[in-house]
Amino acid sequence: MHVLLVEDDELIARGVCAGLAFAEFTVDHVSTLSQAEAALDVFHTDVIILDLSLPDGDGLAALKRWRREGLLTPVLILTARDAVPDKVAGLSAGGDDYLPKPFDLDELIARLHALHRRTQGRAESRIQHGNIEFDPVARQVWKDGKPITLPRRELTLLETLFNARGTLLSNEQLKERLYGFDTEVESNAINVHIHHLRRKLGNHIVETVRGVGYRLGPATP
Amino acid sequence: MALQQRLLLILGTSFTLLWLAVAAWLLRDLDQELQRTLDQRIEASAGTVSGLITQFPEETWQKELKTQSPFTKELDVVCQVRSEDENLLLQTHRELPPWLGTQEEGFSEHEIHGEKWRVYTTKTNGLYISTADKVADRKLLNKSIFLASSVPFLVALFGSLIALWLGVRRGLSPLGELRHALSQRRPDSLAPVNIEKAPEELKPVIENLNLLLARMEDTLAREQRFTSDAAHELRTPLTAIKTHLQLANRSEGNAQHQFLSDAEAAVVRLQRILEQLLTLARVESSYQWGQEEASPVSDLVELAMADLAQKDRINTAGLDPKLQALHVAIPSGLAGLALKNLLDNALRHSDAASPVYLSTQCHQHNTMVEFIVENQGDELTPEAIAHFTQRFWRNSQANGSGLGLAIVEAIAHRFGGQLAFSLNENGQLMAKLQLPLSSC
Repeated sequence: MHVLLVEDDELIARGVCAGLAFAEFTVDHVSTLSQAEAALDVFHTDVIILDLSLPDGDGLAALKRWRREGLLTPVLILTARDAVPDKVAGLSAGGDDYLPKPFDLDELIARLHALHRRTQGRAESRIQHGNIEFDPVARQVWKDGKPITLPRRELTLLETLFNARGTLLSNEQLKERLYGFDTEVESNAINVHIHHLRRKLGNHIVETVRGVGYRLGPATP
Repeated sequence: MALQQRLLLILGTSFTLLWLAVAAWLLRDLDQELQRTLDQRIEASAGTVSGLITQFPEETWQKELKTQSPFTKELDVVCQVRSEDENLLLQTHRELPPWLGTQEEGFSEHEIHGEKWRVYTTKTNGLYISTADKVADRKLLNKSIFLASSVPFLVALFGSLIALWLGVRRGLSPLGELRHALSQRRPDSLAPVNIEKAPEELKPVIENLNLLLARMEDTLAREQRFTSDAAHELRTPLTAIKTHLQLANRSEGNAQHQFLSDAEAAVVRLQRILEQLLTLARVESSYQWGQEEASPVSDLVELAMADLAQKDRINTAGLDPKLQALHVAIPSGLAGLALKNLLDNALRHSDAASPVYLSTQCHQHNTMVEFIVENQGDELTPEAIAHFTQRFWRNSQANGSGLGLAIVEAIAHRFGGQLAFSLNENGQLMAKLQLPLSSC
């Protein structure tokens, strides 16, 4: 899952990024609203974690503006303002969830998963696709009921393909989801991951549309 | 007891007692006047009879009168005429006993057959003429007059009491309205009190009350903002501590070490904020600072610069040598802290290569020393300058707590000094801190 973290406090941001990386999230961190807007214009984000007190403005006002402009990405507000009116204001402004600081990392991760699941329109956290089963929270994959161990990038690639639900994803989009915005990666990195995924789960799991990109293959070979 | 009841009780009792006293006085006078009038009546009757008798020689009227029957009709006033030798010559009533036999002249009272009579006797031509009326009749008359005058009196008394009740009720209705308005309010409501047609006497009370409520609302809002800002400032390092400790628990080796040192950095930040909050609270409260001896200006400058990280950038050429030995009338720890915060702020918000100028001058007939700190930094607007001493306000991405300048201002105010910010002609920020001197 690709998360955009908007947080001006370096220490907290570093901690959240590290904590989410443990849970195999791809996190991009920005510290101002203008940087957040620039990032949202450029790449896809599954969930936004938004602090409200930011150096270049109020996060709540920005969130209202984003919603007016049609942003559909779920937003989790992460702030030190914990009064009930603040929570009401946050959720009314377009926030999908509200977590006051200080928080528990596990709770933050669970809420992000729940937000993402709801956005995907799924009632259950597990995803079933033919003989393949995937639990995004436990980061576990089963093939024909048997657990398969996948490294972090391959899991994220599989999750991205599941979440895209058959939509075509370009090589660049996949890189961005797997590595984030700033990371430099080898040009064939995605090809290598797709090769490993096909080897472990079956060739049908990823469908290549030559010259355009990739998408989730059919449920049965 | 309610004000209305108390007023009614006091005024009602006073009214009633006054009316009763006046009534008693009137009735007493009336009774005396009535007795005098009735006395005059029997005296006049006796005089009339006496006048008639003197017009005839004794032997003439004696014969004539003896043959006449006395009146049988009930008269209010009775009359007897007797000779000097006690012979009854004439009387108005047949049944009258010879009770008027006494020869004393003038007014007297006699009881005859169990009935009291008021008698007047006069002597004319050797005849005694007595006229009399019954005391009981007099009392009856007196009672009738008392009853006749009591009814309008009582009507007037009760009318007055009703008018009093209505008047007090109507007169105090704005108070009742105020009481109602206040009792209907929620205990935590700070909305202004509105009373329609409030009398002149109540207007200043209501205006002052509303002014007080407005000030209280303002104070509460400020307190709430401060609490909320303080909570925010405390939660931020707390979150960093908690997050990094959780991460340290899930990692090992270098990564764990890094998380622990990040948590420690957050602890240092939390400690600094707590210390600043405590200093601010103490400066603003009635906390008794130690009776330290006033320190000279030179010591304060040294104290303020001692712990500053970039003190080499401070240019102290502008320090007036004549002022260096003067003593500042503030506990040296606080005066040093105020100057240190000012310099620290200037160092952190200016270009790393540019100097920060510190100078001093004397003010207000040498009773105040002014520390002037100038620095070259980001372009500032007057609006931003106005926020400088606002608690927890930070300029853009500055990493301070937002309390440093608020502490400087609080120290200056607590000890009769001043803090002001302005831009000089070169666009440099100029902070002027005036502190009182104990001697000059």
